[in-house]
Amino acid sequence: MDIKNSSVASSSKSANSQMVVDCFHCGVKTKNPIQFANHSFCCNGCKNVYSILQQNDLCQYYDLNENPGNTIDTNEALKYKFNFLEDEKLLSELMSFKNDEISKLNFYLPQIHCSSCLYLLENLHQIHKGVVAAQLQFTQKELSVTFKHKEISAKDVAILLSNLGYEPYFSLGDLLNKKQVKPSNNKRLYRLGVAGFAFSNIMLLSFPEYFDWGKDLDGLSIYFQWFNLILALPVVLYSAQEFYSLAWGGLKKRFLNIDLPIVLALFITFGRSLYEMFTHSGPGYFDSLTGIVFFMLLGRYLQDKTYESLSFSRDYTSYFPLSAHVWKEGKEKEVMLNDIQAGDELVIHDQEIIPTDGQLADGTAVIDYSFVTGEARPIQVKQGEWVYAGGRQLEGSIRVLAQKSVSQGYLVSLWNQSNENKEYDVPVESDENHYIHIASQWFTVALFTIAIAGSIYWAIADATKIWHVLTSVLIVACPCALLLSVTFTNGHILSALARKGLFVKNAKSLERWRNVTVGVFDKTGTLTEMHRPEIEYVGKELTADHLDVIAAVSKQSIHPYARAISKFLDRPQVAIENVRNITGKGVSAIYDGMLINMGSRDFVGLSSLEVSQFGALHATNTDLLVGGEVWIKWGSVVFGKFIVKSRYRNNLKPMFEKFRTKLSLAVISGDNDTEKAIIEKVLPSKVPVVFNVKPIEKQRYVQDLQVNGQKVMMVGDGLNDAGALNQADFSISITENVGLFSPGCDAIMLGDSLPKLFDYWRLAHRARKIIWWSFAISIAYNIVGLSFALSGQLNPLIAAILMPVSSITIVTFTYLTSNWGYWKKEIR
Amino acid sequence: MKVILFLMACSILVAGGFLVAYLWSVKSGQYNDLEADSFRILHDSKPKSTQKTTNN
Repeated sequence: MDIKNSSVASSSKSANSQMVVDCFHCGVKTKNPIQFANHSFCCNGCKNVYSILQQNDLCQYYDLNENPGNTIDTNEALKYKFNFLEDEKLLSELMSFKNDEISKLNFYLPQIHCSSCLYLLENLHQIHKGVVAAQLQFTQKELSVTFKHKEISAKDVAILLSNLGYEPYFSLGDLLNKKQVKPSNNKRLYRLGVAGFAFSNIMLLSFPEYFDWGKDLDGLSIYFQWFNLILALPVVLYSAQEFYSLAWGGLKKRFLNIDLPIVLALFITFGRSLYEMFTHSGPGYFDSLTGIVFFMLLGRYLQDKTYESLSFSRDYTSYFPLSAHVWKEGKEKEVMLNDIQAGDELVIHDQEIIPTDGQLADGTAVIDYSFVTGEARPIQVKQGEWVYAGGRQLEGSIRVLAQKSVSQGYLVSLWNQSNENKEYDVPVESDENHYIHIASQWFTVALFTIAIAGSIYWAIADATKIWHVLTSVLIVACPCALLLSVTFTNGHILSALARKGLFVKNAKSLERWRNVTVGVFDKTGTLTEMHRPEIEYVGKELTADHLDVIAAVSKQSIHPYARAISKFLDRPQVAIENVRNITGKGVSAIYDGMLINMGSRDFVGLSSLEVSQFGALHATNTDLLVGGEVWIKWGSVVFGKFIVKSRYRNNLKPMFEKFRTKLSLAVISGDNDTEKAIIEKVLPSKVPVVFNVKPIEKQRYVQDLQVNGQKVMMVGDGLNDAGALNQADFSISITENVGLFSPGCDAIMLGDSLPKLFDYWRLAHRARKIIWWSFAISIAYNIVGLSFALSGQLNPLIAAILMPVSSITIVTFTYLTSNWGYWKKEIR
Repeated sequence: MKVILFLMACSILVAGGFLVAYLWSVKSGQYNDLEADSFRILHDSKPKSTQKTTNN
């Protein structure tokens, strides 16, 4: 099988006559399967997991789903990765429980994805008898493991999980803000339950009144009212507390929010009901009162529910590991990140993140700053030069003399810039300029006008009815339909988007999104895909033997390009000798007495003749690809080069074309302009592309647009965009895995969903239309209700019918209209 | 007609029992993770070994 001077892009793999099979464990396609127990596996890792499961009689794992496993990364780094779990002080902070015999520790496992995962992880005790029990919180992807620490250490549990393909993820954020989300959520459930209980029972007890059977009850109806009052009290005093505090908060800020009319209506309804009850003039409106509270709490609860598993206002602490290795008295010591001081000598192992700014003391640093600067190419740092927090060391271990404590580092200062222009946790209902508030203010004004006009009329017509009419107006004209339509519509739209891979933080963000006028896109990691590089070979023909050897040699390197090549070639193993990794340059090895060099142009020592021969050779398929090259030297002959490229996502152009009709667009990049020609193929004409933009300049770019009165949507990834994302009116952070870290933003989006962004934007627009239509329904309902109230005919039965009917209409209407777009093909 | 009051008290007592049960279920964390249980139920009975398992 020869490869000519042409592309070996992944699509042309079919030239291979070998069978391509799915790995039994993880489902990855492989040409060289490892056979074991009648199954094919892509790697030893997967095979090992299978054999562990087989030994422990857990093969039901494979019955539940097809190829359920995760590909096992047999990374050597694992050995010391969880060393911090040996640190008693740190461990005691992480532990949720510990006594003499057992410990309980929560692990965050981002890889969890199906019922097989759940089955396997909850059967952990069958794999290691030191584990007592394991329980999974599926939505949170958290595994709570109870284990006997005398038989298995926390570190060993972590390694055991990693070996099964579920590598636990710890971050500094776990320590600092031990999440206390659940209590508040539970509180709302309690309130909801109490309100629902009271509402349904009061409804039942009110039936005699509805059908006018009260007179058959021989004066017992007063007892019914007492029951109603007792049931309604917990609702007024407990369930409705949320509305009181929100309304009070609005009042303190001298601002009329939507909770205020609700509270007013609640008080008047309750007061009037008490009055009717004690004067024996009527049954009261306890049913409507509790119903309103119940429906409104339900709306707010449903909205929260969708977003439980996501955290948006994350800070830098979620990105950093928990601890670092400090070199002290001749050995490595685990030190918690917060305890690192200037002057400490840090040891950064292969693939670890540099926690704070410092100077390189020892070793050769090749640092991937892509997360901080957006520059895709790793940077080589010499001794004595500065390294910055957030970079990832790629090759071997280095020692860094810390110059700052963690909270003073470059990354952290970048993160903390200009946080003031957005308050993250303000719900829609208390945003002062929100149209809901303008509407509800108008509503309140109109309501009082009507009430006063009604009273004046009745003062002339029949003075005894003034009080009755006035309170009736306020009872029946509750703005709950107004409120419900907003929470429900936004809730439906948000969850429809979430199912599509776009997780928007809250309804308020959704509204800011609708109003943007400019779209700014980051390039690296946003428009390009980092994790699936494309590889191409240019040069002399390579035989199958050559390919085998090249794959074997590149496998020995830890450089991402080389690894990508070996993964791409996917050849059977051949024996090579004298492997030498020269950090930052390349790798060499001897095969059959022949020295093979792979690496940079300098490393293989390209002669000027060869430069003229190959240097001018370009890849045939340069479309939509950018990247670096790896040269191959076989003995003394340079064969050619592999070109490793990160790829632009597919189908971006139609998305940009559609956006361009509505917004002005721009692309900014931290990279240099070598890809100018390529990026222009992705973008419609006349979209400005700015290169060499530093993170702080990205933020200024957004700021400048805003100064000119524009509303900016920023789409980016990584910390290098954090400032700009923060500055923008609406920010989307692109990620390949929602569970992993992404900077604070308004929305998290799966990279694969990016081409659909425009359709989602349109869906967000629909929310507003639906809300206006709901308003119309609400107004119609109010006209009916008010006409009863103004004519002095409102009685509890009419209120009890109108109230749920209007709520249910709104709920059904918003549900159907919001999901219509989801059912339609348009954004599938 | 007094019996109706007794029946009412009973019905509210029964309903109150359900309310307490609900509050208890919230407190014991049954609403924390609605997804996992829908998977967990699949694991209770061991399915017959299909052609996929070869651990026999």
